[in-house]
Amino acid sequence: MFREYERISTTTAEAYLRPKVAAYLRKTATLTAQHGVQSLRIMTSSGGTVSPEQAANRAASLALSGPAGGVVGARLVGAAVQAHDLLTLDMGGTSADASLISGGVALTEGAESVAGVPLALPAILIETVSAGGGSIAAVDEGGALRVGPRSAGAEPGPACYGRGGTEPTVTDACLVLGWLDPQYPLADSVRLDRAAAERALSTLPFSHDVCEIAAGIVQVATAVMARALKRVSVARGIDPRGMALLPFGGAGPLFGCALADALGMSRVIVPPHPGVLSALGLAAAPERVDVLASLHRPLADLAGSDLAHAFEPLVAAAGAALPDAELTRFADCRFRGQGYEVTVPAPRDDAATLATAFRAAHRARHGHGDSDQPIELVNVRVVAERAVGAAPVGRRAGIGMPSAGRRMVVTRDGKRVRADVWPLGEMPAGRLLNAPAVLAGPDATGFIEPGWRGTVHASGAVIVERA
Amino acid sequence: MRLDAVGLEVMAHAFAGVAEEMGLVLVQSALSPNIRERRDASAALFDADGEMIAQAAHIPVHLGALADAVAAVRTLEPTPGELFLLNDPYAGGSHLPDLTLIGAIDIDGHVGGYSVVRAHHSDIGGMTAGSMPAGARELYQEGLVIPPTRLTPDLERLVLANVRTPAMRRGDLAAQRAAVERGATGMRSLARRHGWTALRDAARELLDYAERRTKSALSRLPTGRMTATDYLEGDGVVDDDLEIHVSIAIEDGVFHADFTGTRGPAPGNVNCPIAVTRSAVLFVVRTLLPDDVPMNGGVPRAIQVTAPPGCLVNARPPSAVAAGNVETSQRIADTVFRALAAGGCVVPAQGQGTMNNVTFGGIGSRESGAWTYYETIGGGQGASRGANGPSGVHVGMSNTLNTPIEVLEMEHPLRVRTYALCIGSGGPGQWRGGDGVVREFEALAPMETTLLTERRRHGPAGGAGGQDGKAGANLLNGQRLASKITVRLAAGDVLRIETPGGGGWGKGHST
Repeated sequence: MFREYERISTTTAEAYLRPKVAAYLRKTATLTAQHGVQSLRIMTSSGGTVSPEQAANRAASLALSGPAGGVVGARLVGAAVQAHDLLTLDMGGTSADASLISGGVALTEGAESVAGVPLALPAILIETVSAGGGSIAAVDEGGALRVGPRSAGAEPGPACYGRGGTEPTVTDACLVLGWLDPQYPLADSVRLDRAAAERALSTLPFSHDVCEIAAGIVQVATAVMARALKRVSVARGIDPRGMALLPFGGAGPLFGCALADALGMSRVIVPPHPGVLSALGLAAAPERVDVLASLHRPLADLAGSDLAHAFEPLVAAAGAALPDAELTRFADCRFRGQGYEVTVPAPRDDAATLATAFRAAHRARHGHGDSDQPIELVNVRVVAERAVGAAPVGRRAGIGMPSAGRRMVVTRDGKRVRADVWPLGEMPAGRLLNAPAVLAGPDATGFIEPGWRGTVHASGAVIVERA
Repeated sequence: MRLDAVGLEVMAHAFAGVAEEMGLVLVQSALSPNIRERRDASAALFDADGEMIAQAAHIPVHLGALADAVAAVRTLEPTPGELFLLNDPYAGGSHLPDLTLIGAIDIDGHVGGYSVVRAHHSDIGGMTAGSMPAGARELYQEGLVIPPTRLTPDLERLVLANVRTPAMRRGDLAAQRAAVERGATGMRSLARRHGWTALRDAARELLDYAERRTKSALSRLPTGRMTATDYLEGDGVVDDDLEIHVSIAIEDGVFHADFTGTRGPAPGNVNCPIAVTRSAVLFVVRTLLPDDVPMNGGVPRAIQVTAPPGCLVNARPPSAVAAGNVETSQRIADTVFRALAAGGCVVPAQGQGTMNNVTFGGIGSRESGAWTYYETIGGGQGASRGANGPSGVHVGMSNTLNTPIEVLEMEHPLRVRTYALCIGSGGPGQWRGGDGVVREFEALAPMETTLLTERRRHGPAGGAGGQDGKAGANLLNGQRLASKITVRLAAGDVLRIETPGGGGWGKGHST
């Protein structure tokens, strides 16, 4: 690993975390074994799993494992509906995590630092912003409406949870707009109290109309989340307009159309069970081991045997860590003088082929690949992946429940409209869903805004496109 | 149109997002370690009237100063799509190595605003490699002076012919141009989405909003005159203490800083153009505001800076200024903080108060592989009420990362022999000042090096009864060097830089 400060910081984080993580994993392994679980696997930040013993020796590589699970789940749903270029957004209680899948592969170059500590480890790219269902809305002394970073969390939670929360949150706004249904308990059997939500919202001084206040909160939360999505796409030179947005988490699909609008996208994929997509990703993630070594040399100076020689010990180490795995070789390259490397597959022991692959990848990422600077190799890596047998996504026949009815909702621009309510995850393939429509699932809720139209896919996902 | 509470916040995110993208484009495509690793650069969007709408948070000393650059370009009556380059400290610049690129954003055939990127280039010609000389007496010795000028291929050729490392300059300029273009594209796409009139009005509303928040925060501070004096330690020509004096008054939410009483021009290059002085005051005011006040042109509306023409902090041509931007700016901020403390505001103890500028350059022709390298080194931050000062960080007007040793050694004939905290250099107190840093370079070839450093004589002052931090030191093969000096190194020579510790806060001892 190049750059000593990042390396030392990573080692320090590992030394700090390892005893705690190792003890925790030992206890977890014992308890799960007692409950008859045969194969405990631990997710890492790179979107693959390792054994508990391996995880105990790579504690720092678990730092972003939670969000990584969601991205793996999103990739699976995307693959099931033939969408391979995705922006994903996991909206939780206190924050939202944006990530990007390109050509069916999650971008793994993020994690410059976690909580201010630089960590130089492979990690799925995640940009986090503080906008979640529990984020608190407030008007500051300059007269601007802010959402987050303060959050009501799970306790006391949003005012409408009736657990003592009195400050207005994003969830309260969604309830007041009618996007959430007070008759319909949330996943953790919370019944929503609309009157409490209205009371909380009416403490905000910028309007007398609670619906207008609610629509404002939704707009600000959308702006905050759109910024995270732009950081993973536009800011990296990737145009999101040809991609699909895959929102998940309990409230993510409520914001799908609004966010797609903000980024100029025309396709939103609502997974069949958005609230448990991270769990699906955890269950279906491949086992994976990453090994890496520094090899800082101009590509032009490398003979084929040098590359073979460099990869040999890595291939052996990866193969030993994960027998019978599929091994893929990668090389981190850059133009001499650059500070950032581009990782490209290196299947052959041939520097010229690698140079061509690097130029193509650089062109795709940075718009040009023809610099007259020589190309340098910086690191070589081997990724070992072994697929696991998991329930397939995509062959689920809906049981054909009819519409759960219609109700009045308010859109984010303040219009009162009558919306169909559909049971998310229970509809037969091919059904057309006209806007506006609420997608009500046991674990999450979605909203198809006017101007859009949904189609139920065989996987149970709803493909929402501009009408 | 008047933006409501919602619109304000939505548009603040939209503009800040564009500035962020500009910054990312710049550091991802720049060539020199100083820009790509240390991120010694800033990016900002301005409206058509020359007020800043949003800035990517990079370097404090660039904060307020970019507005002067845009103002200088506007006097040339830019047409839509034109690109300008400048570095003249007396016409919108800061010091010569900071090259500022400004694009007049074309929105439907009109200039809809300006996209601005300032970056510190590690050479712009002049008397020493790296263009941060010690001992310069005139601006002309410090490098090529570029007044606001349309950037044409011919101008670029002229610039490249006057610098020691043209290939790297060309690469860094290309990165700046790409970032400026990204800013323009971002602004145009916002205009398409929201409509141009609405966008322009939104920008104005955001400035008013920041001004309201700033004035509201400032009006909670003590009123009455607050004064303080602090000193620079020589200027590379003379070694005397050079006095900076400030008098602060806060009235109706407006922060007045008057530098009357500050000494006249220094013979060396610690003089400060007024734009840099305003930046230093803006930095102090910024630390008094809540974090979430957006950084735009509304904040400086609540600040007034006056200084007698020609004095140390309101320099006139042809005074030399290379160290003014990096060192005097630090001392101005220190002096303003000291005045606030004297007036009863709770502010931190003084931090290292220097950027510890170190420049290296090869000796020889461009054909034989001349090279230049510039870095600044962190030190101790002052303790504050309730917290120890962090160790080994940049304090005040700088905000850069370090260059990884592995990058430095790979690209230049230098070996880093020591890089460590100077344990115990932070001042004791109820809360302890942060420790300074030791960085030891061994020259592997003959080269020239310049040091522009401060707080080698007077350690950073403690606050509220806390003790002072330890002063720094510059040593060549164990022998003390002056705080500002240019020397030649032979292969095997070892240059050791010890940076100052931060002052402690409060009487007593931390546990």
